[in-house]
Amino acid sequence: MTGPSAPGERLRGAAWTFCTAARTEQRGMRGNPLLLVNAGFLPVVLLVIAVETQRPSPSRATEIVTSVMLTALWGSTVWTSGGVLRRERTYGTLARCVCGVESPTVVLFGKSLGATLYGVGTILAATVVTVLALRLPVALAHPLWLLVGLVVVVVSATTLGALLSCLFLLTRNGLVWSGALMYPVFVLGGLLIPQDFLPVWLRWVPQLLSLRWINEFLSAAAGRGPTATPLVVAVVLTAAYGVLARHTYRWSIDKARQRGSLDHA
Amino acid sequence: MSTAAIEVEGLGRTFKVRGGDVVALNDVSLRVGQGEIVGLLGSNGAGKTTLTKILATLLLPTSGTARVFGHDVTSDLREVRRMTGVVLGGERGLYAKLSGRENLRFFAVLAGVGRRGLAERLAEALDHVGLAEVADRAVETYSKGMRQRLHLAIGMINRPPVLLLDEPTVGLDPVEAERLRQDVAVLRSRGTSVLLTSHLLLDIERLADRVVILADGEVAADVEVAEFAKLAGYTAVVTVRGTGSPPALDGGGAARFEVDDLSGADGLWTLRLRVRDWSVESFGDLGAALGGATILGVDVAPLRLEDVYSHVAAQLAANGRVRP
Repeated sequence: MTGPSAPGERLRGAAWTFCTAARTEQRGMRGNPLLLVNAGFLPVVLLVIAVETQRPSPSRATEIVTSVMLTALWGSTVWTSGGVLRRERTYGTLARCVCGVESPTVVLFGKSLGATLYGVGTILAATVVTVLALRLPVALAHPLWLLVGLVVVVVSATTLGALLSCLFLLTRNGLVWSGALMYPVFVLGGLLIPQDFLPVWLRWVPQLLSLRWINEFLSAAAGRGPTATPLVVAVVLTAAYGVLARHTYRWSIDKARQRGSLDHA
Repeated sequence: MSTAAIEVEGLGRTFKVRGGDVVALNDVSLRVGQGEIVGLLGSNGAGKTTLTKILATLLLPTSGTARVFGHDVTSDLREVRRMTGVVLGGERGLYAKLSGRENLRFFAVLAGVGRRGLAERLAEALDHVGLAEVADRAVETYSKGMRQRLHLAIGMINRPPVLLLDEPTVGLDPVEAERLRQDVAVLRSRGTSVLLTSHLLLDIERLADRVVILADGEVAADVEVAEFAKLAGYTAVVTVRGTGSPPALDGGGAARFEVDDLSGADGLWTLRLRVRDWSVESFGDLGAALGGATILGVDVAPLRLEDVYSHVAAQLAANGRVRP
């Protein structure tokens, strides 16, 4: 037996656990049909529909591609990283994930990152192939900012997925809620349908979705030049998702330990 | 007195259900010393799994305290988890799409195993439980016994000083079960403390130093295995078959054996006796009791822990207590 660990050792342990959780989740995602549908087929279908009627200009094509990718990312997030804890409960592995040496939040965020990376990678691959096949004139005026935007996309989808995962853990009907959340955000998220087309009393909805702000940032970065405001709002919303996810997760674990429901399917 | 590996004092756990509360544990106290193996026995619903889950930090108690090497299971979670290996078993609790090695690797890291030497440790653990050949196959292709062995490897991968084993041999064939018992025996020799829950009394008989019996959430008995065997009140059953007149049992030797049954038909008779203890005197009394009878055969069946537990369970059902 050894004594309590030093802070540096604990940090290394947490980082190691985080990376292992991400890697394990990525491996678990291989061949996941929900991922293939939402991250593989969805961007292809949406892109084909979006450009079928008229050939867009390079700046408009970039906006369409960005919106389609982020829409697909929402679908992928709901079903993959958003379903991390629901799947753990189904497999009977939730108890071990919660009762490891490191904080359960580290495991959750690691797994959420693993699922998000797999989703983003699949979306990118499907989109690039489709863009090339359709010969869309996509503009990439500020690649460095696009890269920054991509990092924010991954981090934001990871925390958003973790938050959804925690919310789905609070109910036994997580699968139903996953399905129910998909299309309202497709319609109200300000990604495919511009915010101006929504009724005034519903325009606050997209403001709460970080992906909508990232969309604005990426569209600008690809064309006329990036602006800081949408990026800052996206980062603030991402941090808020993370804090909310952490609190919700800890609260639901405490409740589950009180009720004895940690290993219930 | 050295720090106990597991120390439980006045532990209680109540579950709220529709129509009232269900008491799963009530004022349970027990101690598992370092390097000691304690068998936890009890019928279904006695509170065994509840106690195991509290010690594994999966469940909060409603009263009392439980400590692992002095660390409270409700407040020192990190230390308790670092020191405790848990094998709850069953077919769930694994990632079916991942290989055995990938499963073990993930759970090893969760249990605090660092990067250095991890690959070797995984290989060693998989080899130890006989899964080396199939380590890179998806778990969904594993048999029930293979999954159980993987659970064992997961529970022991961080070489914890305390191991909680809940029905570890369920699903294992006799050879695998025996190998597991040997593994646990080796752990004891290394100083690992084990709380073993099993319905297979062979596991208890072969491994445990002490037996704690839970009944209706309370400790009904906490005795050494040798003492546990004495709770039945006899040490062997002797079955004698003979012909002609059955022996006249006039009460002689009643202090050393007890007639369980005497039946006969067509000139043949069968006498079953429960021998309280083997001694020169008991042999003498048996000889005297059977003197003059024509004996065709004698069978001696040593007491099994199953018999003891049946006896104890009957006592518990009758009066809620265990009396020697």
